Amino acid sequence: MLSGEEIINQIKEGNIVIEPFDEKCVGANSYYLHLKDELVIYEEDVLECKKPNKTREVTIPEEGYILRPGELYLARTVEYTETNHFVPLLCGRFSLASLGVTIHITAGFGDNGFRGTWTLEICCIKPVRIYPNMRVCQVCYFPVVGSEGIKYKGKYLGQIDATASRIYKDDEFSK
Amino acid sequence: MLTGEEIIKAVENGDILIEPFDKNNVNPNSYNLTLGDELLVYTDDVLDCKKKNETRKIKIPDEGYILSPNTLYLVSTREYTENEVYVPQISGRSSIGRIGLTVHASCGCGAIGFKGTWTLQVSCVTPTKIYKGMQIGQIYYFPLIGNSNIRYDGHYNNKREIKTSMFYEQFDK
Repeated sequence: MLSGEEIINQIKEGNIVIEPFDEKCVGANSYYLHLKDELVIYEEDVLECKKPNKTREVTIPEEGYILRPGELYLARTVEYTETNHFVPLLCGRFSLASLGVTIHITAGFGDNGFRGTWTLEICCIKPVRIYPNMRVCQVCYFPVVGSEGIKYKGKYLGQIDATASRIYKDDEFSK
Repeated sequence: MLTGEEIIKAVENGDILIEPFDKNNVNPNSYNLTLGDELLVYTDDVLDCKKKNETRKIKIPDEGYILSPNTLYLVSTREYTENEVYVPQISGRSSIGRIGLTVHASCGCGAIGFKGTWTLQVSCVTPTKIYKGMQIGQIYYFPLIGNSNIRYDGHYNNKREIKTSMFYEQFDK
């Protein structure tokens, strides 16, 4: 895993892009990312894998927004990132996890070649007030092993907004 | 990621500190961590990232304690670790996952420079009885690439007790 100083080196080399970048957000072996002030919430009673699900947007005000248990909130990082020749891993922070807030449901491993902001999948155990622009998670980087002929070309490449699931576009469903 | 034998070597040469350390708890590529004697539960109805949130302490009796769903329990590992050379990562054990227990709400990735016991964020899917001293999680170690002059020296360092969120310390800075 890359050290904080090596993340800075790889940004200078152009292999890693983090925008905006602030050296104060470099950790021992990670970089801290911030929460954008927009949330996306599914509006359907039953979500459907085969078709787009209706969503609504909520803006997180300066005085904060209370997340409720049993609800899934899609959010995004302020930062736009590009990663080449490394594998990014998105991690929740202890400060938030120890309030019972998870920011991703899957392992959080990203793809070599991914570019875009990160869509977060936020859930909580107890009601909890969150704030815009707080440090919400961190990204770590692993070296790839092997040739890099297969790069990420997926349906979320270049995403900027918090992006709802596009699993309905999978081959199994779109035939 | 380090193998179990490499973890033993690193403990012997001082690159990794795990206290207490028991070779019986070494796995092919991780080390098993055990549960402490106490739980902390938040008592406020609504938690707030900007505030210090109050908690109450529960002692786990010898006969075990039944966790309830929809509740967050903070617990410490008995093991104190120092992580100066390798990047630590914790996760639940497969046996724990298979009874629906989650032991961390983040990805479990630690930082170079972190010293302390590990505070686990435990929740369950169905009511589940747990016991103090049981093997609950695992710690893995990744080699670090690059210079390591930037080291973790945050609010949670050098603590052996259960750590509640100190997010409130990080606002207004």
